[in-house]
Amino acid sequence: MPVSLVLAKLEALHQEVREAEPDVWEPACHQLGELAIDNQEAYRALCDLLLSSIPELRLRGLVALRIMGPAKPREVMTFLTERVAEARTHYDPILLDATFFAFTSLPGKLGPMLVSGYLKDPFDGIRAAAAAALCFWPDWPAGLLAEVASDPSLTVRAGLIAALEEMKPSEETARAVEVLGQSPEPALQELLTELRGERPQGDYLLRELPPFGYAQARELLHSSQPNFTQINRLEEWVTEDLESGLSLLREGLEAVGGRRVVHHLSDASRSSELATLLRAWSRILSRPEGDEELLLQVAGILDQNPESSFLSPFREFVYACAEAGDCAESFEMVAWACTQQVTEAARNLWDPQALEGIAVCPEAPEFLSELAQMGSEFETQSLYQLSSLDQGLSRLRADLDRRCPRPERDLLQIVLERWQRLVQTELQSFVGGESA
Amino acid sequence: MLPKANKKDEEQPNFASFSTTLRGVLTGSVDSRTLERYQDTLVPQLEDNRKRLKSMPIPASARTVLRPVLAKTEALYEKLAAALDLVEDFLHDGTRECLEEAISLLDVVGDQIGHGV
Repeated sequence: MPVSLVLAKLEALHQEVREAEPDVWEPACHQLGELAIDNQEAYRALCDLLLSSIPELRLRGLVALRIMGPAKPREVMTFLTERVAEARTHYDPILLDATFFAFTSLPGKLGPMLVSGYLKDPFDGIRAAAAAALCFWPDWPAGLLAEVASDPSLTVRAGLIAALEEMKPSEETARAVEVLGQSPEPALQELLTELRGERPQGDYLLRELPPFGYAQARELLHSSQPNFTQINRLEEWVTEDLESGLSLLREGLEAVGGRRVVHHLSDASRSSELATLLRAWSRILSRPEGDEELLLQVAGILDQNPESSFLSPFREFVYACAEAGDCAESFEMVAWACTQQVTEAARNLWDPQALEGIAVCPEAPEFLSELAQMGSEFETQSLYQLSSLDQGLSRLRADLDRRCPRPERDLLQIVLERWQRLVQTELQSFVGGESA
Repeated sequence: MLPKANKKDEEQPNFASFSTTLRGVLTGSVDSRTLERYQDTLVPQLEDNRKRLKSMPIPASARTVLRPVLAKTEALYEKLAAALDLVEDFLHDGTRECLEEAISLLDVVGDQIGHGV
């Protein structure tokens, strides 16, 4: 398949694997898995899913990974066994079950061999997942099911009941049920009753979801534990009206769950452009104090979507900040300022709207222009000029804190801090030199 | 693909959309009145920008560093001026080659602006 077609396909799959309907995301995960077998970009997209901050998306990643199993058994096996090992410290029963399900994609006896090994694991969460996975293969050594049925852990025995529900009745399963019948726990006896078909399984009602609007979106930003359904609905709401959506997200960045929501949203976003923007935001918001590498890191994130016209105003802003932050002396600051003014004038002549757009707040380029103006007025390295630049920078900084929203403010702060440090160092050496 | 902005203002003539307009003139989908509107807007805009670039105060300390940037920008403005002259010629005598040449000049400038001046 030509590269451009693969990229277009991946763009569509990025959206589809994040859709709410299983009819859409399941086939999309299958296609992603197939593409990832011999396409590096697709493999990267699959890894993004597997490493997502949202468990539901990691689960979908496993569905896609399962497709890769027959073609790349070694890589898939390594990945899955690493995830099982991780469960000892970060236990998520649903993800672990999905991981064991993915063992079925491994060729030959590899899957059952790994599962029977995990039945002896010291951690009962892993043994339970292995027990629940027994139904995926028909032939187990005689006596194994009964042995699992007598496991001291209730969770493991409950896992086995889940497997028995799916298995064809045989002498082996009957023996296991008999052993399980001797369990003293009432909860387990209830499960057994259901297994024996003596009581119909619970009816499940499909509930209609309540409406989702501005108020719900705002509320979500204050929630510390948003779930995937809520994030999905927020993503739909933001995409519907990007201008209001992004503006609400900006307002909510200081809220309790603001950063977490933006991080989840960057994973859940069906549009790769919005995902890239939110990934950049998320990186800015999670920066440690005084992280000067941040400007380059954010530029690197935006470079992952170089053709996006939606991102271009924010990208240009970040590039300009990165160049300004790279100045090592006042003469370089002046050069940056003049270059910025010339470049901006040429860009404005070409397309006055090139640097406008909802991906960047309107205040941020204005501050950058003001900084460029200030820098270009700095003519000689005199005590007067240095002091006046220093005062100008302090005033701009105070203005920035008042008027510029996050996350752009964070980037401008880095530049202003750096420039102020440089000016103060030069001022000190100037004063030192004068007095000497 | 996401839009750059939700509320789009009415499109004003600008150099970025000029080559598309010229292509439209060649195919007959854009009339000469639109083309004249472009000329009337862009000629004074370019003139104004060139004047400002020439009179821009540049501190002595930055002059050497800025020389290549200024030269490059001036060269871009030259190309834009040449494109406008060619369109003017087309408006007078209707030679298609003039428009084709103007389009290729604008494409070159567009590429350069897109990758930083």
